[in-house]
Amino acid sequence: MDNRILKEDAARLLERDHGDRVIFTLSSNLNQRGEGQDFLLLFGAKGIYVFCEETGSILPYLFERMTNARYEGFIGGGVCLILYDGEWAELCRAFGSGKENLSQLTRILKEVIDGALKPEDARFTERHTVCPKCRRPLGKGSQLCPNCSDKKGSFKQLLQLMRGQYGWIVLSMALFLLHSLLNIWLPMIQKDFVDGYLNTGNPEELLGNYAPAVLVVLSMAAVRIFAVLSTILRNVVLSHVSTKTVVELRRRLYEKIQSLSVAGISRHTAGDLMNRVSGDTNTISQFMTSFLPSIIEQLFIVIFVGVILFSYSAEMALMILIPTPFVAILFRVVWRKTHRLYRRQWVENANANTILHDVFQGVRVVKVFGTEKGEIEKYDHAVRTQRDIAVRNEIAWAKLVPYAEYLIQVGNFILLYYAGNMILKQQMTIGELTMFSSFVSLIYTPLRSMANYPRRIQQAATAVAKVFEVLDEEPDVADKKDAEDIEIRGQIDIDGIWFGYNESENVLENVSVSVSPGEMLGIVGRSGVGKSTLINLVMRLYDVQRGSIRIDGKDVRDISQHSLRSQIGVVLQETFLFAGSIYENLAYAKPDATYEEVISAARLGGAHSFIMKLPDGYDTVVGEKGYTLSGGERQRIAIARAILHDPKILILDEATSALDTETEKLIQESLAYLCKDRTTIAIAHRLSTLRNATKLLVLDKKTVAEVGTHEELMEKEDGIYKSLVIAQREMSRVKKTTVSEEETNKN
Amino acid sequence: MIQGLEQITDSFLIDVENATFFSSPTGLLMVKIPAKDYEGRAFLALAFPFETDEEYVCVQNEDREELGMIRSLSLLSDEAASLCRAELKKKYFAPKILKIVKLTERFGSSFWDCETDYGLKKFTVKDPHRSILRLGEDRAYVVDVDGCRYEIESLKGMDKKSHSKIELYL
Repeated sequence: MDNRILKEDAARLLERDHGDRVIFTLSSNLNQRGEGQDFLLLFGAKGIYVFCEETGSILPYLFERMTNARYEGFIGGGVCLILYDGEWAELCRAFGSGKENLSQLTRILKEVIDGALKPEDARFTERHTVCPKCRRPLGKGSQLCPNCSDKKGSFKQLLQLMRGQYGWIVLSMALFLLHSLLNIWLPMIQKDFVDGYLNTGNPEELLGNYAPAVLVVLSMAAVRIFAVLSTILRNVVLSHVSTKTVVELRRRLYEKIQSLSVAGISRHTAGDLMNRVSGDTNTISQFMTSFLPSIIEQLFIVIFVGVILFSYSAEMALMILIPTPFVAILFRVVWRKTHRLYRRQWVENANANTILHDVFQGVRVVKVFGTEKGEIEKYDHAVRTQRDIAVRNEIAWAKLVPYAEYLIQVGNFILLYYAGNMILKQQMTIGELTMFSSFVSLIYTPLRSMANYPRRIQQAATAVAKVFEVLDEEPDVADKKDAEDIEIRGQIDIDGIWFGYNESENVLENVSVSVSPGEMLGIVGRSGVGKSTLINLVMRLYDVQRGSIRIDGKDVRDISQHSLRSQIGVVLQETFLFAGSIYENLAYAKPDATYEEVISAARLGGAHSFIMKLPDGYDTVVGEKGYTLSGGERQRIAIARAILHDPKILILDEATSALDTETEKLIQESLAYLCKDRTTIAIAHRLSTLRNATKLLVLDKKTVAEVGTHEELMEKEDGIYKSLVIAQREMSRVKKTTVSEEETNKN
Repeated sequence: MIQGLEQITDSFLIDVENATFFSSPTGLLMVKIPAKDYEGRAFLALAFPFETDEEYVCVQNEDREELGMIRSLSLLSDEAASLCRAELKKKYFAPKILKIVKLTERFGSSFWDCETDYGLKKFTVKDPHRSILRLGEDRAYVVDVDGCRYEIESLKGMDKKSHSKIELYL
């Protein structure tokens, strides 16, 4: 049944039998037994109704009887469960992209149950993981298909980007035209040469008078030189246009990516973004500099040669032009066949490379377990398979291509037969035949590559669409128009915030806490409880879904992101160092720092001593291609960087986790100095790190479980914090005992 | 084995004697294990989902903590085994591909139209070479962009046309 009619029928039934109206609908495709069955879910003002498309029955679930909702995933699908009349029940089940919609529905249901959302205000956006039209996968979080997007629009945008270069584009078009005309002119001169000098029927005449013939030959050489010159000039102009366009595109893309929120960037993988910035822009560049020019040139040639041919002889023109589509089809078939063969070869090659990559990466494991022989056999097998396929392909290629090439010449043979007859009847000259023959090659040569045109155009169009998809993306954490730059004092008020990274699950629910300027707040809790999420929200890397975070009484959403983050310093668990010297990495926080400032920050961060042991001191190059620092060394650099940054608010996210207890003790003083007189939020699993905290916040089950000082929390019987402290003390006692036992044994 | 490690390494083995599986009034799988003082929802997880679908079944509580391990469903009562089988079938949902009607590829994605035991399914597979999991010489799973799995029970048993379509990716 048509989906629209189905929805209308279901809506009528709902109104008639349950007195409710539909706010939105969605589909699910499995029944409770996990069998394929289609359902329509009608979200109404009073409840949610499951409409079975097969039986036409409606099962109502009223909001007033629901007390909770949750989403559970399974392989390739998901289930939405509701706590209905005190009993968990399955509301609907779906597999495929339907699971995204169920996850969204669960979130809406939860908000309705909590009273945070009126059913009438609920908005549902159907999510797709593949384009409903062309079935191509959509980007992570994206609902725009680069393939089906308005390609004319994308190319229009590209043209707009090339504004200011229109003069150059016109010049390059003129050069194209010139080059094509010169190429067509050449066979015409040849014809005059053959008919006027070579085939006059009186060779003695030519022997006595060389000059005019030499002149014709020279004019042919001149035309060729002009053609070459026009090509060079055209390529220079085109590369100028395309380079400028690609540089501008890359600059805009990079600028845009920098402006996106962490959530926005996380929707793409690093590889995807890299591909868009370099790969897709490169595809566009290649399309503009090499492919588009050749299409335009070939188009000019086909048009001009067609006109000339028809003006000479319509019969002969048809004879040349009629086989062209067949030749194009033939090449398409050949291309497809060989493509399949070479694809298989490529796959086998990739398989062999994967084996190599795996073994080289894990060479220590191979050596330790003595499995070299097995690995050699595995690679040998892969290489032999690859060889067999390669041999098969070469044989197929050798058989196929000469036939195809021969078939292309068929047009020429027909022309020769027909023209030969006409020459015998003296209706055509040999010069004309030479000219026609050249025209045939002019038209037929591009046909070989024509089979690839649709693919190449599609490729370029997709690249353009993908680039503009990012350029057109609206940042979801954006500065308000009237966002202010403020001078932060350090009062932080977190007021009833709710947040979740995805539709179905909240990470934090109703969290409230305040920190006064100069205070240190320690956040404690199990892994995955939302500690890092909370500090991400304070930094406004994401926006809260409900509640607010205020700094000095101002909502973070009203403060400009630059102003906010430039006054927050962060030391993270994982310290990323950019490729460059240690000095450059330290000065990243304060580019105008003097050497003295950098050295004293490094001393305070406990980094100076190890830096000075490195051969090049502060100029030691680190990063991917540089010196490898240990986790603890990197973390000390991060602390020094934060000291240099001198922020108003300091965030320490497991800042000392990579340090051993001895080193941690050494830099505790540095940390105490760093935290002095500034608001600090610190997360640490090692609770001793938080001993200087003025206040501790214990997170559990997505919300605040305990708040207080160390002493206050230790007084709580069965308190979470207390049990964590006791567990850690016991652990360190066990460690100490084991170490002392080992030492006794050694002695 | 080091003394005391049995507690960590030994699973609580669930069988017909020590556990009762039943359905809640709303059709959810429940379990009662008196030795663990547990009665509530049962979540099942296969330890070797690609190797066996009846053995080494881990039984978890709502927090996905292990309650025990079923070595083989045959060690349960017929009724309990069929409840578990139904639950596992729902969790490891994988339509079986009977025939590949159409398989095309464009720009690194392949588009599959297949006849399955759940009817005709059209799905998209990204990077087909990595999305086909070979299980031994003859069995395979095709994983689509949504993470849905489609099982090919026997590659050799497929009809010639279907096999020639998939051959390129194997």
